[in-house]
Amino acid sequence: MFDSIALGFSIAFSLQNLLFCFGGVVLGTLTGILPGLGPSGAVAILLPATFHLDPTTAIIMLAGIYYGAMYGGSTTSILVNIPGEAASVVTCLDGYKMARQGKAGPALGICAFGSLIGGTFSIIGLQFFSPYLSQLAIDFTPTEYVSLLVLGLIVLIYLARESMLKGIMMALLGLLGGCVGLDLISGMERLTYSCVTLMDGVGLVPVAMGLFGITEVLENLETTLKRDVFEAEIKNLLPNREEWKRSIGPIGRGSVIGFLLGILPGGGAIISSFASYTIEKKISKHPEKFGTGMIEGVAGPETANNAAAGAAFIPLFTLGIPANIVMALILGAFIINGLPVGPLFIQQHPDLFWGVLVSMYIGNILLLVLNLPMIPLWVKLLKVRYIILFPIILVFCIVGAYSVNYNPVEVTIMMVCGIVGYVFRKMRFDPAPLVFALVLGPILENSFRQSLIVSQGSFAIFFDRPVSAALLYLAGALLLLNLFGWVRGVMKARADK
Amino acid sequence: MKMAKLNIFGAIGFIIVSISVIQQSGGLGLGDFREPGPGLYPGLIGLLLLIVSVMLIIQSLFRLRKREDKGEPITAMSEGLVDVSSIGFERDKVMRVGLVVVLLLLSSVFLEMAGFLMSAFFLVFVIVRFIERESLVLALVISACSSVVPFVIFRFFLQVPLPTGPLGFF
Repeated sequence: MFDSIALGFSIAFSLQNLLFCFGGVVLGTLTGILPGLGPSGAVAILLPATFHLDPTTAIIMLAGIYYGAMYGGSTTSILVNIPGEAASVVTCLDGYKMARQGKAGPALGICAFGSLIGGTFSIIGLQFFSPYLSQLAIDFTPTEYVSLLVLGLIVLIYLARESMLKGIMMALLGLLGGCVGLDLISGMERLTYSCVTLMDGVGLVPVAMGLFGITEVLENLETTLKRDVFEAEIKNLLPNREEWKRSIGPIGRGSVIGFLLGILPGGGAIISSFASYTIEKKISKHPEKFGTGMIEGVAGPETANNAAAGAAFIPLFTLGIPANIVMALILGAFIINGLPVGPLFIQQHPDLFWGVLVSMYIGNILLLVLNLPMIPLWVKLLKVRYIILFPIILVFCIVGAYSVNYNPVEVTIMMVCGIVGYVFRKMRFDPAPLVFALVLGPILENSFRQSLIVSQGSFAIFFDRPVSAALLYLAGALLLLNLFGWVRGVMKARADK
Repeated sequence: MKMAKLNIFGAIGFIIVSISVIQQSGGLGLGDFREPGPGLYPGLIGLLLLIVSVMLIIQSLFRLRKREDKGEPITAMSEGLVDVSSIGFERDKVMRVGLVVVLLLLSSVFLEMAGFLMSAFFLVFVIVRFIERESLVLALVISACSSVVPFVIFRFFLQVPLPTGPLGFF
């Protein structure tokens, strides 16, 4: 273990990796602070820029963007009452109220410290659990992979804010997208509609850029965000003893909740911040005061979303399965760089795993240094108009989609995906399950076909193996839970009538 | 109610996709579960998509019906289907977005012909100046910066051979 950490330090402390770690966390913070571009959009847009980098450097930067965005999102929630990214929604409730009461400084301060503690806790977990989980995962057969992927998709759909049926439809569309191109076994062309570009499959980069970048621009063109930026001087960024006393419990619980929920495929930062807030409110002696400016309501969720961000790397590094949409995009970066992620990954690429892990320690400290003294600068950035931001997003999307294969057809595919994504959003179809399934589709199909060949066509194989059966029962339970909720709603409506 | 109608439109779109996929999968060869052919997996996914889309239509119709029972008339034909403002899209905003969509598609088509710098510059300039109605100077500055900066980063630092167009810039 010590040798591995030493290896990680030697890699993470190279000048290039330090610079890209710094660049990643700054970009992530900006992404989190500026409403209108989430971490998934930023990672999608910058994915092509990493093709020309060393894979370790590329992953260090992309990881930095992700956990940096978790830090930055809280600043906007507290000062503007608009979440910079989805995981900071719940921080608006008490954070903005604290700012209105003249306590913006302690709110921002406790966010930064909570984020550091939560983030570091999850990296320690990543460091200790990943090698052991990898060993366990070596025993996974394609059958377990099918069940795990199905569970991941169901959890993601279950947690989607909109209808579960719509989530399933989007995931199925993503799985179909994963079928496009040459069949790996027979070599036959599938669903290409005679388009030569599609023979290599539907590119993750144009689809993700279209759905997250172009769609975001189109949606923002029709809305005007009213940003009521908090103008008063922000002082006392370091919380006092009383504030620390009230926050230390929520930070501890937030770290554990975030870590546990972050590991789950389909779970992640958003659900963990909500879970942390709910728990803090439930165990508080003054639950009625939540929403009026309680520091516990800021410290817990912000710690939890950062802990979840770090923990999300565990299923990626040990099983090759992304826990959320940003991890799916990072998995895409691994695949594009020709790095197969799975149970043997840590053994085969220790430099990459330990290099990224140590860079996350560095990145978390950099974020604290960035976030506290630079808050006045972030406040100024919040006043930047969207008219400055969207041309940059647009042009980066064009150049990014083109640079994957130097193919203008991929730019057109991205534009079409952006337009379709806009229509999807208007119809409340969440694009996350689609992209998630697009990345996982080929793995799922291969595992599914292998399982059927092994079992000679019997679906019982998925229930004969205990781990596989447990995962499928869990997925089924989630589906039933949703169905019961719907039936209960219908019955209640009938009773009211 | 608006959302229920939108769901029905969306589900119809998904049904068309699923039928097309099922048809194509049949042509690819389904094989059987012992030896799955290249069309089996997409065919199964297509079939599932078809079933779930039909379920969404049924659910949405059920919701529309519930509103009707409460005395709110379903006006799908009279107020709904042709008027964009009544199905969740506001006419003015849709026009704005529609214009941008046309510009985006044009810029992707002309990317190789006109070159990256020109197509990106004009795309941003037209949006900022004529759709967002900003001043000429601001539009020129934003367009120049947002096209030249990515060009320099990708062309010179990342060595991406971006299309140069007929003028052969760089």
